[in-house]
Amino acid sequence: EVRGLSTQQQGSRILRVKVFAGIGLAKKDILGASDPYARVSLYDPINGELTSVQTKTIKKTLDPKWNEEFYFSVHPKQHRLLFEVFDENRLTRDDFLGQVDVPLQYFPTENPDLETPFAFRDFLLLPRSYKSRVKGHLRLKMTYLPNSNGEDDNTEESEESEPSWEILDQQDINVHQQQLPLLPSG
Amino acid sequence: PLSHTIHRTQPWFHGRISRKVAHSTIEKQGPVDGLFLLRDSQSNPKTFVLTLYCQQKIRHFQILPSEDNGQLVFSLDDGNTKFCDLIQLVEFYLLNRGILPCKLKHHCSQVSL
Repeated sequence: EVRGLSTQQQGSRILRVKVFAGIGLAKKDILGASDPYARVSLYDPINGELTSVQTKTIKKTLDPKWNEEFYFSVHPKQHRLLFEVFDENRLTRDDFLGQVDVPLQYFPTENPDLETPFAFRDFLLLPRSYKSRVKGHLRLKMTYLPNSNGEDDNTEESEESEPSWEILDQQDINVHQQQLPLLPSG
Repeated sequence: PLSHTIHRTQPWFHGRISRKVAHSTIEKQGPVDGLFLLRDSQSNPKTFVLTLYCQQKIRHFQILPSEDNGQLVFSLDDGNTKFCDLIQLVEFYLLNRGILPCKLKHHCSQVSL
């Protein structure tokens, strides 16, 4: 079974992350509501942050609707995603409104044949220290794109059985010597 | 640090070539939307440039390093989207348009003169 070795970076998958909304966020400003945005960071628990991207700021609300979508090339067993919600302030430091930290290996793979394969999930926003006062949920959807060779239609099962070659690329930066992944069309 | 050199072995990294050479390299291999290369900036040491062909235009995007909680990060959109190295940056913009006119698609191969 050598599928996935040739064109893709070994063991990497494309994760589609949709940040829908914040629900019932904590009120930080005395006057008026917050101006929330979400920061999504892909990180490796050992080597630190790899990529981080920010949604737009939605003005004056505790229930922001971002509806933004990002794609990340990830190693499902190695990487994690951290979502942090902040209240944007012009003059002072942005206020922390809560975080969600998730491992990546349990998300389903999209089935292009199904219309609504998997709905969003509301994640409880958590504090990052004893000082954080947080509240509410973050509505997210995370799914893997089918493997780019286009033939691989059995999905979650193939994720769970651990192919032996996947372990190799965790050892060093050899993974970066591979060719960049070819993108699936569309 | 490693993050300043890790991209050097990548086929899309063309090193210290001028803007003019970057232009002609793209022109020779174009025109395809999403054709790109990365290079060292000649005017600004430690910064990099993404040269991208899209919609009949060649554009250059500065990639600036900065410090983020003591870690070196790279960004081409004022820190809105940050990367620990240029490989992560390229991988991201192969999948996301962000502020670019189009996603990265094909890298220019390096032509030896």
